[in-house]
Amino acid sequence: MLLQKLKLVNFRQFYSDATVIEFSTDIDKNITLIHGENGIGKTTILNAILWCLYEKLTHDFERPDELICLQSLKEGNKSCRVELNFEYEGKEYLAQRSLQNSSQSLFKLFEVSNSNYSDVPNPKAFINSILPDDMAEYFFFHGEGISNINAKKSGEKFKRAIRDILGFRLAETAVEDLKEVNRKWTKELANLQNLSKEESQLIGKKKNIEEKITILKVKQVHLSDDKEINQNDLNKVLDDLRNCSNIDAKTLQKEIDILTSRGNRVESIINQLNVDKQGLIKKYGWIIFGQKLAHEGLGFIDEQSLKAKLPAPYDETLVKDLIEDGKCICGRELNPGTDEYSKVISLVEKADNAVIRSKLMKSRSAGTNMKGRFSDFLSGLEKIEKNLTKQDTDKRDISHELVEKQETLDSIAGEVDEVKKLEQSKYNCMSALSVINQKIGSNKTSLGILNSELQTTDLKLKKFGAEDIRISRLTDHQSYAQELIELCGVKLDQYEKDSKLTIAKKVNETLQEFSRKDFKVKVGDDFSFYLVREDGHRVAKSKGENLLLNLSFVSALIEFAQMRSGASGDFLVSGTTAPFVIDAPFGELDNTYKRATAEFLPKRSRQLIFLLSSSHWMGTVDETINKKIGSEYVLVSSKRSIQNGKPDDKLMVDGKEYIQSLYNQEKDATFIEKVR
Amino acid sequence: MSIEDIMSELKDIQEHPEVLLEVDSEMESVLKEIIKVERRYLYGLDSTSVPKRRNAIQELLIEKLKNRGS
Repeated sequence: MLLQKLKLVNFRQFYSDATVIEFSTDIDKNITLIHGENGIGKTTILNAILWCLYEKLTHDFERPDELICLQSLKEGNKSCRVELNFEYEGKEYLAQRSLQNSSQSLFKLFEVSNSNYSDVPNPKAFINSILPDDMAEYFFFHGEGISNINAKKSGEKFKRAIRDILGFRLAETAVEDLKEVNRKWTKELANLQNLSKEESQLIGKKKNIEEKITILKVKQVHLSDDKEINQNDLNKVLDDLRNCSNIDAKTLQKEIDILTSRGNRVESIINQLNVDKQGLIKKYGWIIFGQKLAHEGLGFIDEQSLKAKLPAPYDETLVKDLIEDGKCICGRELNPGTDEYSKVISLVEKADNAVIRSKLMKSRSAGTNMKGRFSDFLSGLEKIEKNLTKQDTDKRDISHELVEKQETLDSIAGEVDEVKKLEQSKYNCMSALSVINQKIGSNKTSLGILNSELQTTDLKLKKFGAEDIRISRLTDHQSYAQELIELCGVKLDQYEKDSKLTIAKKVNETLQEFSRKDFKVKVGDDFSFYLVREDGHRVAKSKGENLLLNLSFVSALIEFAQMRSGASGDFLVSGTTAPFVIDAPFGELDNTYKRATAEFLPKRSRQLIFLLSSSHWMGTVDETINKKIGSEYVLVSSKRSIQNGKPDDKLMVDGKEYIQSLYNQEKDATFIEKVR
Repeated sequence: MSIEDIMSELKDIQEHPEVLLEVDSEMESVLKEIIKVERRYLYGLDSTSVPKRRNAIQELLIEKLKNRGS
């Protein structure tokens, strides 16, 4: 999707139909730059595009009900309209949304060919097939939104962003719908007539368990949110401690950080070793019981062979041939009724044949194998145990050292007010986190118990289903839906994990190329993206670094969506190539990071539309993007009020001066002036 | 496995590349059909109501289970 032209007709401060912006579609000069001081209408342009395509506005767009231009309302005109021309897969389209008297807006979409306009049926579906509305907010981006990504519960926001760009919405709604359908079937079960007392009790129990599970899951989500908020608060306090004015406290906190991080590493090694140990027992555990059997079995086979109770090493075919020929291998005649004949005949009973031989060999080999595996099991277990002992000792040492450092820090806190306050906050956050973690753990246990109770109840119900076809039908339906819910969950988790890593890799590439410090991005289990130094410690981000991280994240999302534009879309919504419209992106960046952002954003998107105030644009950004600008405009605010010492907001672009605030005018409105 | 075996496998793949295509399990195909229903309702062809969408999914499941049984 490439934006070609935007026309605003009496939309907010844009009076009449004079506002037309032609966007640059040139691949080399892919930037359209729109200058505008605060409050003149930059955010309105971004919102006009969102409103036209999706009837949506950014969350902080003030007075969203007043879309019709006040000046035009005064003149009796009670309608507004936004028109957007765009190109998609070689065809040109015109999207048009209009609003009359603040009633429901009307959306139309036309395919434009040789100045002929033909209606596109189901315009909403068509627009969503190009750029789904849940992905749109990342392409039509408000600077404020970038800061919001880093707000509390950042992990949740990063996760949501990745899910939206991956097009999870359909699959997520499918899971919710399947759960709802299942609940409906439980109700149907409960309403069945002529059930036995036991059946009714089981169905009632099932319903009850399902309700409890739903409540617990909601609680779990809230607890996770609380955990993230408290973790963020704790990180902030720790950052403050690491940067406090007391050098001893600062050093101690850094040492505590190192020890904590070592402790976490040891803890994760211990966890892994325990998992390995369980795996080993799972794999070879049966051998412990099989060992005695193998030992005795092999002994038995050998002993019985010796005693000739098991097939002797005579081949059945050979013995039969001897009898048929009537002659023994020693040359004696074998006539029926003779002693020789009876002896040879008795050999057939003990003679070896192919089937017995193979069975014996298998038994021998299984027994020998079991013996061998047992020693593998023992040596593997011994290795793990040794390592566990070593890690446990390390853990004890680290924890001992941590207590010592913490006590020293506490003693400083007793003397220095700043440290005392920070330490108090640290303890508060840590104790709140510990309470939350306990609650999460206990909820998890309860959920496990409830799920297993549900399974047992379902199994019992299925037994009744064998006699009552109504129960059987409904429980079968539920199992089927549950299987689909689980499959969907597994698939979504896998996609999410893979994408998280790809996006983190892209963010890292950007940071490595453009950031002045040597740090990397890491993604936590909770999807929070954070910066770490080479030694693995978290970096206390400045506002600028935060913004840089978030901008690289959003641009990585856009690039990722472009990469996925060829995806089939039969499970996840396929990706898309779409313009990146970004309002006020350079807020808290210093010049170096401004330059970096101005360099990487045009590289990451096919079409880039910047909405900038002079403070964002002048100097570094101008120098960096100038050669990439294909189209440029200045917003001019016309005011009826008298200037009375207020600024003209003059702007010099390409040697020409533009006055952005005109006073003593006939109308209050914003107009647009083309620069190039 | 000998080199000859590997060469023969590769030849088979060359002659019948379709064997490399991922084949959906029965459940995956059903899931994709459910997603189709979601798309129809969520992305604008019919955004009348949530219950209507859920009914459509319920009917789809019942239909699939019927076919499974027959």
